[in-house]
Amino acid sequence: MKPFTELSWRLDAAAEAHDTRAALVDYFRSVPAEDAPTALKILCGRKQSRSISVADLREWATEAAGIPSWLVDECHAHVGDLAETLALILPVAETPGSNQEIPPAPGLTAALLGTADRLQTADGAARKKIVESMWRLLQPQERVVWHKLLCGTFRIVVPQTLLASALAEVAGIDGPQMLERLEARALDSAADYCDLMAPGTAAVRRGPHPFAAPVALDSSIGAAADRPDWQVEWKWEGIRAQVVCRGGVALWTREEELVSDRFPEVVAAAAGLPDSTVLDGVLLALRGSQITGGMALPPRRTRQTLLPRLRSESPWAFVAFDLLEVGGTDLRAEPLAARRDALESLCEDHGHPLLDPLPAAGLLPCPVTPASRLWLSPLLPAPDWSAVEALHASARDRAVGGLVLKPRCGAYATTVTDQLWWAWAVDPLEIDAVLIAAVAGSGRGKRLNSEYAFGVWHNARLVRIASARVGLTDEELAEIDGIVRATIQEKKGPWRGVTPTLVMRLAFRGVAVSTRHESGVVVRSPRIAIWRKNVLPAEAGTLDQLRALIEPGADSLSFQAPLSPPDPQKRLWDD
Amino acid sequence: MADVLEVTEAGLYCPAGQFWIDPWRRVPRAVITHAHADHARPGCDRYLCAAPGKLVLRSRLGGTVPIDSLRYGESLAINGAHVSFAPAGHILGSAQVRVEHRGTVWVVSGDYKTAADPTCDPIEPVRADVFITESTFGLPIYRWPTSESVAAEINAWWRANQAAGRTSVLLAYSLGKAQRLATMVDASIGPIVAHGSVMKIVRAYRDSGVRLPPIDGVPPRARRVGQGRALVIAPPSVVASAWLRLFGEASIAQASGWMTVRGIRRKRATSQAFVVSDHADFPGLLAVIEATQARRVLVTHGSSASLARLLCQRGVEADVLPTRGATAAAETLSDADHAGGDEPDPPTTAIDFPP
Ligand SMILES: [Zn+2]
Ligand SMILES: [Zn+2]
Repeated sequence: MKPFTELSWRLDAAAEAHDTRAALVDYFRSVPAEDAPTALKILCGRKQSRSISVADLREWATEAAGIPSWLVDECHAHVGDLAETLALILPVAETPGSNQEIPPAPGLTAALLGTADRLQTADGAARKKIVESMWRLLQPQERVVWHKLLCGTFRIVVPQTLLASALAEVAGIDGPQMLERLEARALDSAADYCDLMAPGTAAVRRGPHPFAAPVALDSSIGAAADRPDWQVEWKWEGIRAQVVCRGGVALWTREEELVSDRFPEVVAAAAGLPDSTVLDGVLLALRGSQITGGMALPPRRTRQTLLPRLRSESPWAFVAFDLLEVGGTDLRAEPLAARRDALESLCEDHGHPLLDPLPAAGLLPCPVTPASRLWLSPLLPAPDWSAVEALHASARDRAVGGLVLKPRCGAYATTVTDQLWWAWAVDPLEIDAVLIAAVAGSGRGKRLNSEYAFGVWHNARLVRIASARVGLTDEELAEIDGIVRATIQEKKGPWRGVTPTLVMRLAFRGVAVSTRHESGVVVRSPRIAIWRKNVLPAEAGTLDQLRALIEPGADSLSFQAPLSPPDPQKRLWDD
Repeated sequence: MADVLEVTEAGLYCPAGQFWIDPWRRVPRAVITHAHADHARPGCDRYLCAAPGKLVLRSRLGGTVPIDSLRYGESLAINGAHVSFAPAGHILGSAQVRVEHRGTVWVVSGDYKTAADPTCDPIEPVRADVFITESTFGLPIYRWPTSESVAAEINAWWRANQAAGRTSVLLAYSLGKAQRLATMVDASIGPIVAHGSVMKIVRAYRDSGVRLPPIDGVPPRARRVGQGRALVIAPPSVVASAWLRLFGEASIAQASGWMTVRGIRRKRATSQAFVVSDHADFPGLLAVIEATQARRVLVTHGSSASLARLLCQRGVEADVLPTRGATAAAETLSDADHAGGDEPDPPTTAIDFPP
C-alpha cells in the first residue's frame, strides 16, 4: 500500500499537470507488476465496488482507539473526512523489522482485492478481524487510502492522456502509442501490464479499434441529399460492439466493456472466423423470429452472469456492418466500398447470412433464425434521395431506429473528417404532458429543478410517464423554476409535487410496455420539445394515446426496460 | 481558599504575588513562559523568565527593558508567592511556571512538547494541585511520528530536489522550529540557508550556547543563493514574496503539526508537508497531565473543550480556562509569523478527496 499511498498523496497535492505526471512516472517506475493493473483501474476511474460500509469501519475503529464516540465526532468535524479521521485515531501500526512475526505491509492488490475477497465470504465478527489485522499493518496515510478504496469512495482520477504520457515515459515508447495500448488492452494481470509496458513498436491489440461514430443528420439533410455516393443501411437498435477475433473471440462494446461472457451464442457464431479479424456492428435482441426494437432491450447487458431463463427468453445476434481487420490486415484506411466487399466475401465464406433488406415490422427472414447468430447488415436500395426518404419514413414500422448513411469512398473515420457517417434517426414521437413534480437541485448552483416529472391523463388523474429536463433554454428553466417553487404541494424524497399548471410537449424515441412503471409503459429518451404555454393541463395527452404509440414488437415483450431512460450524453443505446 | 491564579482583563494573574503570567496587556510585572509572540508581549515594566531563554527574549523585546531570570528549579519569592520555572521542552528557555502560595501549587504549562529536541531542555513534569495546560493539539488524531522518521523524510526530499536541480524551501516558524529543523536534517547533504528573521534567532541561540550546524544568511542584494542545492529555512510569510525568487526553481514544504490533516495541507497548498511540532501531541498531553497528578486541570488554547470533557470522563476535575488571549493571539498570529510566532490555529478544513 505504501507506494500507492505516496502516489495518492502526491496526486492530491499536485497543483499542475506536470506534478501529476511526475508522480505517476515515479510510481510506475517502481510499482510491482501485480499491483500495476489494480492501480491503473483505480486511476482511470473504473467503477469501484464497496466491500465494507464506513459505518462498520467507524464502529470498529472507535472501539480499537478506545475513545468515546462523541470524541470521534469532534475529530471528524475537525478533519472533515471520516475515512481519514478513523485512520488517524487508530492505534499506531506495528513496524516490520522490530518484530519478526509481523509480516511486511501488503501491496495494493493484496490489500484491496485480496481483502475484498476475504470480506465477501466472511460474516460480522470475521469481517471485523480481517479489517483489524490489516489496520495493524498500515500506517495512517495508507489507512486513509485503504478505507476509501474499500468503501468505494476513492476519488482521484487521472486523465487518460496524462496517464498514457507518464506510462509512455516509463516504458520508453511514445505517448499516442501508449494511449492506443491503454485503450485497446485488457489489464487484469501482471502479465497484461508487462505487455502494456513492453518496448518496441509492434503493439499487439487485444481490445477493439476505436469506434466510428455517426453524426446525427438533421439540419444538414439538404447537404446530404446532394451527395450521391451513399451506402444506406438500417440504423439497428441494439448495443454497438466489435467482434474481435484474436486467439479467441471477444465482444467489446463502444464503452470498451468486455461483454463476451454475456453473449455466448454470438461468441460461438464468430468462432469460425479467421484469426486477427475485427467486425463492427450491433448486438440485437431477438424474440422468436423478430428483432426487437431497442426500446425493449432486455437487461442482459447489465447482468454479470448469464441466467439460463434470460438466455432462453432473449437470444441475441450480432449484425455486422463493417470489417476493420481481416487475417491481420488492417482495413480501416481502405474506402468503405472495399471494406464492404471484403465483409461480404468473409460472410459468404463462413456462412453468415445476409439479412432481408426490407423486413416487415422487425421480422427476420425465416431461414436465418435461429441457427446462426452472426449476420450481415444489408445495403438498402436507394437510387435517389426520394428513395432514401421513403426508407426513412418506413423505419419505425420496421422496428429499426432509422438510417445510417456512409460515404462509399470514406475510410473508417474515428475523428472529425468530411467522410463521417450520418445517422438519420426516425422522427420522434410526441405527446403533450403535464409537469407534475420536480427534483430539488443539489450541489453546485442549487437549482430547484434539476429534473421534472411529467404525467398524462388516465381515468381523470395524471399518471407519471417520464422525467426530463433537456430541451429547454436557460430562460425557460428560470421561469419554470419560479412557477415550480410557487406551486409545491408535497415532498416525496427528492421530489417536490406541484400543482399541475405547466404543459410541455415531450418528444421521445419510442414507447414500450413496462411492468415496473405505474403507467404500464416506459418512454425512451424523452426530451422537452416545446413549452406549450397556451395549452391547459386538461388539454394534455392521455395514456391511451401513448399506448397507441407502442413500438411494433415491443408490446408482446415482458422484458424490463431500463428503469430510467438512458442519458443522451452517454449514448448507451444509440449509435 | 482563594485561587492562586485568576483570569483578569490583562491575563492570568497571581493576586498574592501581584504579577501576571504571559499577560496580553501592558502590566507592571510579567512572568513569561517563553518568547513566542503570543506569550511574550512588549510594553511591560519588568519581565521574569527562565535563564536559558533570556537572550532570546531580549532579541524579541529589544531595548533595555529589565529582564530578570531564574535558573530552572531556582525559586523566587514575589510578595509571598513562590515562583519557579521547570523546562517545558517547547523551545529554548521555555518554561512551566510553578506558583506556590500557602501550600497550594499551581503550574502553568505554557507551550510544551514531549518529543526530543536538541535545542532545548526536555520537559520535566511538575507535581501540581492545579495544572493549567495548553491543548493546541488536544484531539486523538494528533500523534507525532518520531523525529528520526521525519528527519529521514526531509533528508530524502532535500536529496531528491538536489538531484532535480531544485532548491528546497522549508517553511517553519522563525523561533524554535527553524533551529530545531536545522539540527534534525543531515547538514552534509548541502548548505543550509536561512531567512533574516530565522538568522536573528539563530544568533540568539548560538549566543545562549546552543550548538547548531552552519547556517548562512542571505546577504543583501544577493542573487542566486545556493540555487538547486541548499535547504532554505524561512517563515511561512515568505510564500508568494519576491524573496523566494532568489533561489530559482524550488520545492516548497512546510513543517507543522497541522500537516497531519490532509485538508489543512491542501489549504496551505505546498507540494510537500512534514509533521513536526513543538507542541505535545495528544498522547503527550495526556501523559504530562497525568504526571502532574493534578486534582484539577484547566485547559486552554486549541481543542480545550474536548480535552476537558475527556478528562472529566476519566475522573479528573477539568474545565476550560476562558482566556481572551488564546483567541486574540490566534487572530494576530498570521501577522506575527515574520516576527516568529507560534503555530496558529488551523484553517477550517477541506472535505473529502476532490472529485
Ligand atoms: Zn503558544
Ligand atoms: Zn509557543
